[in-house]
Amino acid sequence: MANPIKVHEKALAHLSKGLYRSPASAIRELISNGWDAGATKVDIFTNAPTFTGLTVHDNGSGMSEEQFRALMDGGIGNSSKRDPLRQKSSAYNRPVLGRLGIGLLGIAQICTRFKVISKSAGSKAFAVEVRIEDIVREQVDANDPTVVQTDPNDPSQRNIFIGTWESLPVPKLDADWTGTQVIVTNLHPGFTQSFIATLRPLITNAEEQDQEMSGRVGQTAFPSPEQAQAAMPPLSWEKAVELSAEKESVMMRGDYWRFLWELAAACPVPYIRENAVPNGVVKDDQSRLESYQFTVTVDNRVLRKPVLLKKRTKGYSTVRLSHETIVRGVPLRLHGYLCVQEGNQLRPAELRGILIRIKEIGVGYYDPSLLDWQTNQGPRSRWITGEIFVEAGLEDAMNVDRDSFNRYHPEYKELQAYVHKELKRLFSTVYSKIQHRSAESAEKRATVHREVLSDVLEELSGKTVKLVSRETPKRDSVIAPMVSVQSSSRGITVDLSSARHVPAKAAVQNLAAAIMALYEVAQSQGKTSSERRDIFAASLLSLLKEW
Amino acid sequence: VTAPAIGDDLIKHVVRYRAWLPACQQRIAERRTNYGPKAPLRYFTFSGGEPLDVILLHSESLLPAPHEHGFTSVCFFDRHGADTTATSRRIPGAISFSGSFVETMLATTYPTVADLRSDEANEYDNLLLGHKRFKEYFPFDVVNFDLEEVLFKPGEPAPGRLLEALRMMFSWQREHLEGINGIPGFSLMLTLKAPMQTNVTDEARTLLRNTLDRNIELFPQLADILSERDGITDVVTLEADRWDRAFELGMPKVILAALQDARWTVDPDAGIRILRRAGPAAEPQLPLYHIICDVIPLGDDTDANLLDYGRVVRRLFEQPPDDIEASAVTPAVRNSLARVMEVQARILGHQPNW
Repeated sequence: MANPIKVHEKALAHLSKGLYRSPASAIRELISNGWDAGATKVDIFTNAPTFTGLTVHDNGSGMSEEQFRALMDGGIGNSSKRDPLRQKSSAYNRPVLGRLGIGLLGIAQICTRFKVISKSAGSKAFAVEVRIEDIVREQVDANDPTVVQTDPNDPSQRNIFIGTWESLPVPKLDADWTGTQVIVTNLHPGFTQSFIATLRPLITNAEEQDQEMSGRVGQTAFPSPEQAQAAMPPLSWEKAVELSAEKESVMMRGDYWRFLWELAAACPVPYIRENAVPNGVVKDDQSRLESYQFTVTVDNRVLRKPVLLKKRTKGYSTVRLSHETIVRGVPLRLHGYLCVQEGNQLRPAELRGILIRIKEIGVGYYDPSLLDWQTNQGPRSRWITGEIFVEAGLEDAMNVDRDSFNRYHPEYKELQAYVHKELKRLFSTVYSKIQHRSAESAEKRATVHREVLSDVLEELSGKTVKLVSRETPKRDSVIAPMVSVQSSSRGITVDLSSARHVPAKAAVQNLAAAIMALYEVAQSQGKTSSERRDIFAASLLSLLKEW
Repeated sequence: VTAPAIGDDLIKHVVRYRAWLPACQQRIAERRTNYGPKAPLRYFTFSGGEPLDVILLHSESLLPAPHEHGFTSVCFFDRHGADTTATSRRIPGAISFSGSFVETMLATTYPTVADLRSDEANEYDNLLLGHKRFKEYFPFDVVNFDLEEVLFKPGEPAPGRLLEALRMMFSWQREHLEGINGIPGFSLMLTLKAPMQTNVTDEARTLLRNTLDRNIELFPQLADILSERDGITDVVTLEADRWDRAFELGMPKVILAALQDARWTVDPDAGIRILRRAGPAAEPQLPLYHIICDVIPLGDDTDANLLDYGRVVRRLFEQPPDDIEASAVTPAVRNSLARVMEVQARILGHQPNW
């Protein structure tokens, strides 16, 4: 017998088709359920690279059929886990997310039917098939009485019938197993097709890429099994993350890579290692995340946060975030980090920006606008990544999709102001370091150039050479001669001071001075102008060769 | 995962170790002779959650399963239909198809659906997509249907959807006789359960009976063998009095006929090997049959084909199935299963060096 599924009207928005930004957001909700249920493992299988199915299994505390029935009968959105007295669950001291019903039905974004098999300790296992109707939205708008009814307990609320569920025979399960299995039985074909079609080897040639992209519009061109296999991420998640950093964007590798990457970013799983971000800024977070004992696998890949910053010679600047305040009576407490990869854009692009996590779960993805930072950093805005772990507050600022924020919410504004202040401080440090590094580098180059010039001049004149460059008052133009040469029996002294007034960059000034010095010394060599010209040309070539 | 002390698992492993493994070793040897030492064994398996056949082949170095991508030359459907989790966990990287093998194979036409956005329309789209995608993964060097299912389902019109699906699979295999990835033949392994005589439709019984009648008509000496071995001279009596024997003799030829429909046949030199063991504890009265054969292309010379067919059939009449009993569980079988379980545990534990 098919039983109706009833939800409060306010919950309907959560379940609307297309609400979530990506399939990963829908799966994130099921992972959150496993987290709340004290699961130590959530296994997701997509049948990649055929993508013919989707299952999510957790080994949490499961639920009884009665609990499931209550959820389906108007319980969605009324989870008792929202009780503020229960901010931590008993399992591994995890914060409670409390979106069980919505989390369960959120999968409807990518399918029309799914099975739920669950068993809790002390109760019998049950299995049901859930169908979510695609036509509810139109009927709600038309106030169709077959789907819309006034809540008998609260006349201001409407209840919406969004689908049906019915019991199934329970498959054979291990006697001591508890947990929940969600098995999608009818994926939206668009999901499957898109995942298959985009799983293809990278095209490096720009022309080929244009052709390829135009060929994809309006048709489903599937890669061959060999191409799909070649484009699959490796089973080692660390290697996959390293590969994802080799290209501009994860999207270039297809929807499946993006799905994995987004899930890894959003889930409350540890980092690949505690020094995944330089300067030890996530070391404490790593300890805390590991203490939750929560593992998420996708197609046998053990996901870790896809952050792995390393091997950049110019270094990183980091700042730790820590902020605690009261916003209109509501406590806001957070910590995190900002990290700038100096001189190199971060890859993949998906890592650029700031990711906000509430109760360890990512809200949306990395925000490249840096929470709408008005200061234009140009390409340097692509150097920055960061994470903010919100420990208290900000929940009310979340939009219903849990993927974005109401940017005018006072708690969000407070967070924004704090982060922007820290960004300013961080970039100020970064610029000082860049300037210092530039000056050091210029000095090193100048030293090398002086040595080269001395060597060439000594070879040219056969005498010891002393280069002089004094600080002189600023002038508007060069006063000839640009370089003065004084010769004595002990050697020659070359004064390069005037070259500082050549209206050009320091590097050009140095080169001009060196050439002039060669010219001046060459004038005292050779007997004829032709000889002097040849001597100058030869020494110039020697200089340029070593410059 | 712990190694079982004794029971179904060890008996089943005798089949894996003594029959499937040598067949696969021979197949990979041929393949590597033709395509070089690194040619992978393309292996199709219909699994029931514990793909120990794959792990055995891996532990015997027939399926290398590089750690980076896993068992990529293995392709499977699962007995559990939509939920391939149990099998996928155990053979990472293998190509899996969710849903029913039979329905996926037979999804060739799109029925009239009123609402193209409906659940029903999605279902057909998915089946057609799965059908199309599965076909792209052909051919396979080894096809292992560890079905443990009855060939003729109660109430299903003969030859049954399973047999129709097998026939289609054989025809897909035949499309790859030539070419760089072509197959000169393949190894076929089938595990089937004998149906209760009372559950078999008249149509299916007629199919079996006709197969045997035709055999005896073509090769009259088979009647003598039947008489000598079973004391029965006609097929009707055989079916009535010795249903198990009638099934054992008829069923392999139903499979052979399906192969021949797709222009394949069984290598007459090796014939069809049949192993028999007691059914699962719940239904011990329904024996399980393991059929193993080398499949080769059917030639154009019909006379030669008939002679070859006669050799295969005669051997079936002459040689009863090999019964696999507890005595077959040798130390080598035990050690092999222990090794397989160890490798399986390492894979399940996500250990880096399988």
